[in-house]
Amino acid sequence: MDWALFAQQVFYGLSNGMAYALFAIGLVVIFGILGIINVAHGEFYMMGAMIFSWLVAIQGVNLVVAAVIALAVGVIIGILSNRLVVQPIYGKPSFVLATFLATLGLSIFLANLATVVWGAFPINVTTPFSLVVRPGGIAIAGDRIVLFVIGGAVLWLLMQWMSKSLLGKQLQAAAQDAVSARLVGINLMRVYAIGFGLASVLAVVSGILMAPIWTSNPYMGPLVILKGFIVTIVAGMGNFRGAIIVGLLLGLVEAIFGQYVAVQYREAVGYGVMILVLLFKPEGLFRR
Amino acid sequence: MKKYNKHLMTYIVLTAIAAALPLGRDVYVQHLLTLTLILAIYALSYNIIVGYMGLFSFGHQAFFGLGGYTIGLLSLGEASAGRSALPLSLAWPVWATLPASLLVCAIAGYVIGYVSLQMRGVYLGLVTLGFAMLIWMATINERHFTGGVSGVRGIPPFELTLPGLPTLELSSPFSFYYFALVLLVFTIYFISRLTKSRFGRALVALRENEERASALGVDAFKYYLMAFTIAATLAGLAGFAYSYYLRYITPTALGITFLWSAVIMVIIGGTGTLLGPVIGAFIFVFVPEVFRIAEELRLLLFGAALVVVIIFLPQGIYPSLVSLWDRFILRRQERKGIEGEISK
Repeated sequence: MDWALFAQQVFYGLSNGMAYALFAIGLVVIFGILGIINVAHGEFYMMGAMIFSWLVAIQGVNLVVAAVIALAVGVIIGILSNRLVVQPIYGKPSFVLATFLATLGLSIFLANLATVVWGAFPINVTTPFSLVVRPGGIAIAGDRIVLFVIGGAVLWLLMQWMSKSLLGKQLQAAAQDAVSARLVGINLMRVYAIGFGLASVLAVVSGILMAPIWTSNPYMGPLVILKGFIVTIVAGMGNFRGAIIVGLLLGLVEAIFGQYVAVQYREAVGYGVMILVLLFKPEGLFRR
Repeated sequence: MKKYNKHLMTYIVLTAIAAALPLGRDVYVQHLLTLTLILAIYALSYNIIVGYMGLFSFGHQAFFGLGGYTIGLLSLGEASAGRSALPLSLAWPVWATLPASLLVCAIAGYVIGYVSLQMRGVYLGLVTLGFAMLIWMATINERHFTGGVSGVRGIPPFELTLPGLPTLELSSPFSFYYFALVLLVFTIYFISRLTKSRFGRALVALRENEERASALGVDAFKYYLMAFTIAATLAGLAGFAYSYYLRYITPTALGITFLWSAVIMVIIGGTGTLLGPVIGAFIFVFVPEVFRIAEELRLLLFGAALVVVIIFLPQGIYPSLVSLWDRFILRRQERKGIEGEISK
């Protein structure tokens, strides 16, 4: 067995997995707090990646400035989506399906808005970190290291914030029992808005970090959201730690399967696992 | 009985109007009309799941595409096989490809339904979506069998020879329109009979309250599976018409955009009605044409429209129009009644 090749795939898979985890955590935040599935989350990711790539590669804006602008736009889109699309139907009968369909409409809208603005062509962005070093025959891309470091830091900060800060605790309280949370004086509307804003920040962050690794195009949202569904379903809806572990594992399994079984069916593994988990353990692999 | 006749009359008038629509129009409008009818069949089939079962499948596009691909692969002859770079040259005639494609979709619907219908809500949607994505991926990857991304091209024109009758060849949008109209009328008739039958009433009972209906002895899984299989088969019928009409089929037909269009047509038109999905298909095809807008603006528009309809008209356009009309009639009758009182 060629261990360098194996190590290469492990590195490649885990770094993809970090992006999946970062992305899926946003879905988990929204599902945990509001109990709904935000289909447009994939388009929040796409918007982040597109704005960042367009600013850096075409407008020549500084990396950090571009990232800040992308984040700001992401937060605005997230909060507006919550206010205009989700809140009007929230709490009505069968609102879980209604919000699913409404955010599906939003995702179609945003994907095609991006096509109108930027055209259907993919944008490729290179950063000062876009270089490859080869210790021991393993190609290590700088952008993937950046993804690991920043992605890991964001996830760690998120977990700390959720368990330590007052706002984080309020979010968790609302997620556990909305009625009781309101009884102890938590402003649910504010919590929902913050949850949505937070989730869109996470989607935009993963979009920015993946932009130099994958090329970005307006149609990538559905492919990304499907990864997010796989991760959240397999982990168990609303499970934070589970989503991080499953995200990393999904990237790893895809890479290993692609290398040793069939590269063209790499992505099929996730769907297969999702279907099996839904059928045999619909509550997910991790207890909440 | 009188009400039934009134309904029948409405449908005969509507069919006559539909039959007159393409007369004297240019070929492009005829093409759009034909496309509308085919998509209407597809939307009606999706409506069986969404409207009558009250469940959400996000894998319906797979059956539409499977129907189309079955035709594509079975009907290719020697001449066109060379063009499409596929090894198949079966050259099956229409009377054989039609049952074959319906059968493929029925089996696929039965199997996928059997596995996934234990789920409810969004979970059901995601399982069926997973299956559809697997089928989509296989279609793209098994290039030597399906033609990969470029799909199956050079499907022979629709040609039906029955003993004792002249050969029916549909090679223009105009002639295909009437064939599609026959299929649509059949579909509407079939679904209306279905919903009025014991089977359809059981479905509605399940939709309204699954627990109560089950307690009363309706076997939910059995009825859902049967309805799901019927819906898949009808989607295959739409796919059959679609691929014979365009004479090619690509993986797009079983990809996510065809899921979007099904959801848009049914939700905007109106779920659980016979004419809602047809109106949805008409709006879906013609509204962008009227405003002469580009392809990406069209979906942009419908994405926004989907949100607006879900927030403001959760029943869809057609039921809202009907209730508006009923209110109008009622008010007029009331006014007449008052005027009658006064003149007395």
